[in-house]
Amino acid sequence: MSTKLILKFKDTVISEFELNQEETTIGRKDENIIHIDNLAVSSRHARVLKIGKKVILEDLESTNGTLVNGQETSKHILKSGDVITVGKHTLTFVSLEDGVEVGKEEQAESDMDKTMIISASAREEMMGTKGSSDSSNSNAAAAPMLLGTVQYISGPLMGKVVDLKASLTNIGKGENCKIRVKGMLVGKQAAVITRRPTGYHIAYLEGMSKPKVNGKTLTSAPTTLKEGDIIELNDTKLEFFIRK
Amino acid sequence: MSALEMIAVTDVGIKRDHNEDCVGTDIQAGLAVLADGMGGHNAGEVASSMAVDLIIRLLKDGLKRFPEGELDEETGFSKEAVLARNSTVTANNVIIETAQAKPECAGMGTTVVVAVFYDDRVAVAHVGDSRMYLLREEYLSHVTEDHSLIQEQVRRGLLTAEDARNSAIKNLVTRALGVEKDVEADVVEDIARVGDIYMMCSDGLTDVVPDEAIRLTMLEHGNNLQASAQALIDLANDAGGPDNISVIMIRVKASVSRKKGFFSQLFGGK
Repeated sequence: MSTKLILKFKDTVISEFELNQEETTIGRKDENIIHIDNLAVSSRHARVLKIGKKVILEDLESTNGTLVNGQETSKHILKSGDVITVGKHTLTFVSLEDGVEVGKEEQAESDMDKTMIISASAREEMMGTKGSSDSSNSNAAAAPMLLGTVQYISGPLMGKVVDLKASLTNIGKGENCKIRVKGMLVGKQAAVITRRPTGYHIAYLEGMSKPKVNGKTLTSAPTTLKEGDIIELNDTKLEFFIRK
Repeated sequence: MSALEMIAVTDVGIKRDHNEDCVGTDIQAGLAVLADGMGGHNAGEVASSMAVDLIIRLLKDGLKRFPEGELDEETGFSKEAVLARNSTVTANNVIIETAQAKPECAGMGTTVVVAVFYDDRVAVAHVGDSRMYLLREEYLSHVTEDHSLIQEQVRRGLLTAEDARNSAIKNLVTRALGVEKDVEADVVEDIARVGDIYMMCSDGLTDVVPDEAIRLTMLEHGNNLQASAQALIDLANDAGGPDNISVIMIRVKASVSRKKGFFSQLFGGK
């Protein structure tokens, strides 16, 4: 199934966009996949999501709104022939389906959808690691967890190293925090570093003062820590390392 | 554990005629287990239900044997996390033995994802491509990382996340219970905060529904876990429902603890 949007301005076709990505953004800024340079269009105006076989249009709280076939909409499942109006431009949605081909694909797909376990040797072959010098890495399934550490690079504890052996290392002014940081606005449990099989992550938890990594303020969503990252909270600065 | 709210839903999907997934929860003990079985005839169901029943039993029993939230010095993880991992390994051995003893069960296997909530934390053990997500505020994050060929290729930079979604071999798991004697279960711990919503699911959801659609659906339904879980299953079925779909949702309503009695929970005592 191929789907596309045809961009028109006053009935003149400007361009066509194949919807081959999960998300196609529409807006005035350059970073949008469908970029419409017109003041009636918001910087991030709307987006089109492909979910399975459905194609969904979603208005991103644009100033002037998004219309489908003349009706204002916030979310709409697109059908072939739908006309989307964004400012003074229109986008016509076209879905091309070749009945025979789609049927065939579905048949093949349904066998492949069944979860299967792959044997260790087949896995190595498919990973391209069989017989290569990379054999130590081919057993990644059971690789030992990395050990990370942080080192204070400011303040009275400068130089001190703290191993992150525990599954959770709390940062904050609370008594249970392994890394204590003082300050009016620092939360009792300001942030947590989690040790995972895939590496270390840090996330903000609470308090007015939010920690930063390499100058970027953390959110509640975990950020992966990389060698040499600088973690900063109030007057405390820490550098993250992996023990070799 | 009245600090938690849990909902478990499982659906056969559109294309399959039977459901090999299995879900189990014990809200009092703060436990949730989800398994996606595989193997001929009805062996997939046998493997997944064995995993769920056995792991819940082992956990309930094991949790009585030590005080909440104690650290296991050797691993740096909590005793709850170590117990979750050990229970998963034990289930693996029992499934292998059963498969060897009963010819009709030969070749059966199952993925599993296990959650233990305790002392404002959650310990998660998993094997295979069943996942746990966390929705905190407006952010959706992966708590587990799949043991699948595709995920390994992504991790090593051989594939992009976009390639992975379109791959025809995304159903190949590299680790499962019932296959090899020495199964490695990955263990993750995290802080469980009031307001967090944890979502465990089988690949019947994640193979056809992208993360962003999961996030928007969970945000839309908020604390209505039943509606949220059903909406996710509907999304997967709307996308063709190629596999069985299971979803467990856990919402942290108040500070979590096994130690606290009913009244202290009710009045928010610390």
